[in-house]
Amino acid sequence: MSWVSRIAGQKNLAAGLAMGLAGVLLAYLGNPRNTGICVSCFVENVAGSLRLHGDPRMTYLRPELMGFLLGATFMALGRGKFRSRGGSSPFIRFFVGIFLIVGCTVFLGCPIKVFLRLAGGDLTALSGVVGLVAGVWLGVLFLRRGFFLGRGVGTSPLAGWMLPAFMVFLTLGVMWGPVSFKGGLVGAAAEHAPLLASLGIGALVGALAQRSSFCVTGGLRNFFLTRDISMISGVGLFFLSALVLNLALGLFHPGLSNQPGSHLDHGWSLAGMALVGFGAALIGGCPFRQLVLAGEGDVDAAAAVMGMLVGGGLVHSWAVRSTLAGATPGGKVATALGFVFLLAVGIAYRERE
Amino acid sequence: MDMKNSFSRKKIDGVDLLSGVIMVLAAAFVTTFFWQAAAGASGSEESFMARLRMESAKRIEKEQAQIHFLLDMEDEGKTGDALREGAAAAERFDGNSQFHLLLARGYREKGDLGTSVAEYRRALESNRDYSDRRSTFYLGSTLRPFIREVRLARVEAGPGSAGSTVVRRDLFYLERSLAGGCH
Repeated sequence: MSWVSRIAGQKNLAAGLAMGLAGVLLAYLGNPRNTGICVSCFVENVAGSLRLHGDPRMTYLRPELMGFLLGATFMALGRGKFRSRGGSSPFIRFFVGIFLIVGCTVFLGCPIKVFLRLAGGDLTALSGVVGLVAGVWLGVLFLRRGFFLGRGVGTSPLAGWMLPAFMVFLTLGVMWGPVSFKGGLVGAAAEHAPLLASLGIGALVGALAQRSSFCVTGGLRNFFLTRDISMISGVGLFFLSALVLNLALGLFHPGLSNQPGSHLDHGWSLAGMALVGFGAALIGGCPFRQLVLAGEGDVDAAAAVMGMLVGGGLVHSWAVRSTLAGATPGGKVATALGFVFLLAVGIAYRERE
Repeated sequence: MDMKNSFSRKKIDGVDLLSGVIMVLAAAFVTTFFWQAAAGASGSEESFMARLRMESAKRIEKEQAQIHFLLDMEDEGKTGDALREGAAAAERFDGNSQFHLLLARGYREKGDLGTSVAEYRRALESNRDYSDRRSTFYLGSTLRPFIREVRLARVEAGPGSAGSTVVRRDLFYLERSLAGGCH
């Protein structure tokens, strides 16, 4: 099979292109630098609005998050792909969701932001790329040895609609709710693109991701498992399009020192992203993919999203999140615990022949 | 004579009356005692809060007085004394970023750029308003020229100057803080 025929996933290319452009555009329109799309940052912001932590600088009902999920819901409905399903170890996925956010906040960004940071010239993100690849590779080792969280089965439509309905509620909150609820007054939370742009671009990206199954860690997993490059080619185009648009808009500032939302603890950046890659490989997708799956009615992914939301609160309350000075003691302990937990899950859920 | 009739015919005698009075008085005493105890407890809570309020006010007064004292010392040209007093005050009033800012400015004027960078870093770590572009306390316009000044001085001093790595890390911290981002 030639490499040209292998790049058959035009849907992935389209999704990657759109996400790269959207990621830079949202930052250009007002989101924090290199943070046009960052699921973990957005989850932390929403957790703040829900009073799961008390840091007003990370408290804003980011409309992009609702857009991703509801965009996926609309696309799934339009294609007749909305299926309420669940029962594949949801409680395990809940805790993996928590540790996904732990890893992301130790690095300071989700797998999508790793590439957005790199596309903005932030060379400290390179350690995150290495970590992410290593983490997914570790997860693939378990997948190859029969790791399986159990088969999900069809369930009541009410279960599948719970999270989309919750997101509709949050969307109404950000559009018409009081400022005390939606936040966004100080610090990074006050940096945001116009509401309708955030919501619209978020929904578009979510819809395209549903159509294409776009996933950063999924692309790496497919490559390691089957040498399939269709999904990872979308990730490559995502990075390239973001890089080109950053260059065109004058947002490309290469270097190690003058980078927003970063630190110089490269070892812990690597470890944090490795934790994310490992966890994402075990539960079948990165934080962004979990949102999209939850939008399609996947209750197991919804459990992971709720875990992410709880994690978004805990990383602030327990000082797990890295600061600009580097990884915190809490972050280091939580990362180590995360690896122990994921290894235990990996061993416990290995199906033996 | 059956039992029921014997009870109904029994008259209240003096002993019964005395027992009743004693019981009522005891109940009144117990009720009053607990009432007063409850009132006393809430009273002590109120007085505790009042004491706390007063102590907080005194502490703030002391901090403000100390800051003005340092500023006055600087105005009088006693920078060395001001820096010594300021370092002690920063330790005593741990968490007050203003002392670190004053120290940073003082060391900068004195030409000790490395220590000044460290103090600016401590100020930014303890008060994130200083690196928030939307805050009135944003220090971007002060710090950016300062960072350039320190970089230039470091280039002139050459590699391997004392405390070089620490200063570089602190400078990176200042730059990252001013760069914004989601943190």
